[in-house]
Amino acid sequence: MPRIRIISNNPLVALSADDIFVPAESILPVLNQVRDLVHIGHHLLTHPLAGSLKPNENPYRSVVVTKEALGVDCQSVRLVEGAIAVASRMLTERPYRAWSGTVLADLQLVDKALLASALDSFGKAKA
Amino acid sequence: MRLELCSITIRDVRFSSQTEVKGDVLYVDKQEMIDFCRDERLASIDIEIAKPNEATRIVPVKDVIEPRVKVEGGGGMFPGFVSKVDMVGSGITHVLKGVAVVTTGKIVGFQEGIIDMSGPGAQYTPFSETLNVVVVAEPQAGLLQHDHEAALRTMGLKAAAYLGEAGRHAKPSSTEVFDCPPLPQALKQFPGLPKVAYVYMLQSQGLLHDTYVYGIDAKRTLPTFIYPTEVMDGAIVSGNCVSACDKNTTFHHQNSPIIHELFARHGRDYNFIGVVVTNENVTLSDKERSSNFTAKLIEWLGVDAAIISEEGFGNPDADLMMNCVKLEKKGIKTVLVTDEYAGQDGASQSLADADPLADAVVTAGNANQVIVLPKMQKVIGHKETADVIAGGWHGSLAADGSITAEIQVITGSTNELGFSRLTAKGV
Repeated sequence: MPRIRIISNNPLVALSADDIFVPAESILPVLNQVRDLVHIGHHLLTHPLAGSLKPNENPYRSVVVTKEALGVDCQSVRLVEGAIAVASRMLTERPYRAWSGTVLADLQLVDKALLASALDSFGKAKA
Repeated sequence: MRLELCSITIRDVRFSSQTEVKGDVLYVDKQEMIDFCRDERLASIDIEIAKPNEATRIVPVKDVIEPRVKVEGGGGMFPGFVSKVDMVGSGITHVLKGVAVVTTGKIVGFQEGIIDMSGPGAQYTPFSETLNVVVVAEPQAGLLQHDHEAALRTMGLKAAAYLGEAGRHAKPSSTEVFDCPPLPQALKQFPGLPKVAYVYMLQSQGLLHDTYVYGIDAKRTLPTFIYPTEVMDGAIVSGNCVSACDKNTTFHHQNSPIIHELFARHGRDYNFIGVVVTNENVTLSDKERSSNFTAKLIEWLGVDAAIISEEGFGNPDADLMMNCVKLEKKGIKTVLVTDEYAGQDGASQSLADADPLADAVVTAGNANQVIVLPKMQKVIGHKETADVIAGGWHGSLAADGSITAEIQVITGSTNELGFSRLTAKGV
């Protein structure tokens, strides 16, 4: 099983000391943090775009990378850069709505459930 | 494996004291159907009928299912859910053609999934043309989202099986026969024609994003071979509640136009060998494993070319490209079917991933296209959800009741199996 690091802005996700919480109500700062890690050699373990809610619909995102920098991985670079391009363009065209607290809680739940699906695949405990 | 798919054309649906098909009318005993669909997780169930050309909106749509019944052959409809997990896909199946069960429900706070039975929105969904038996359910207080989704999914399948049963003894108006011989025989058919397979990608990322094959969550499976007739008998069931425009409802699976078109040209333009179902999981290792197994299976089938259809956008674009590239590198030509999020003007990059080997791609439309949906006289489902439409924005719901939103909110508008009327024509 890979040693992992979670980068997330979702307050519903329980993070460990190895993980990084990004205090932002937008997916972009999370993706930028992931890109910075990928550029210094961390590998993506989950796709930076998760779920069918679009980057300008769900502001919460949790992405998993390798805990260690293993050398630059071209596929990881391509996927995170592609995700940032899509998210930036969509957010420019249509920014986040001012959702109610209930809706935000549901959006957090969906992100957490998709992360849990990944952790389950890795054989890790649920987030 | 040989399936006779017999259509019973239905031209009207009415409530009555007995559920039955008489002539071309489906009569529904509303109370009996509600009792059949009951689930302890659901506090209430109601049933309404929506017909083409009515000023009716159904929202938020969760699934659409075609009523069918197994008349001869092994197994029953929707194996793993309504029936035991016996193999299906052979014998005789009756279809109530023209009828659809539509389920609605507020599982989470944000909403989508609109079917307008008339007006401009109706042109973007095939379900404006079906006689819709809409099942509206409310959950028990405190029911968790996972359980709510499962309850609605099961309720819809039971509702379709209940109505399908009414067609068991009805006289079919037309019959199609689909013959799927074992692989050694299939490969010897039609020498000289290219052998073609179909890679059927299923959304499987987690809560509200799942698909089931014979009752098992697709994310927990490896890619496998499935006879196309198994798909017609309800072997694939949707639990995918997000991205109304390009999710495959159970109805889409039952009626996959790619499978039907492959059969239509089988023996004339090519030799259709069969279907490989694969998943779209969250982790990259799952994506690598599944695309490796897909490429291996397709190569093992000995085909010359494959059609690959995607479900969803963004994350599964990576699965689509992995499947494409790995097949192309084995010398197997591919054609991809997807949709686009190319911006409201259609000028932006369409997918989140790409590869030069993906040089034959069919689009099912641009989900960012904006549409104005006028107010409808009647709303079935949860009318208050119009203000929290995921494909809309602040101000989408106008004071006059109209909704301005992207067509991604409309059920099936850019369906990636091609089950729509969107088209592009050269001028």
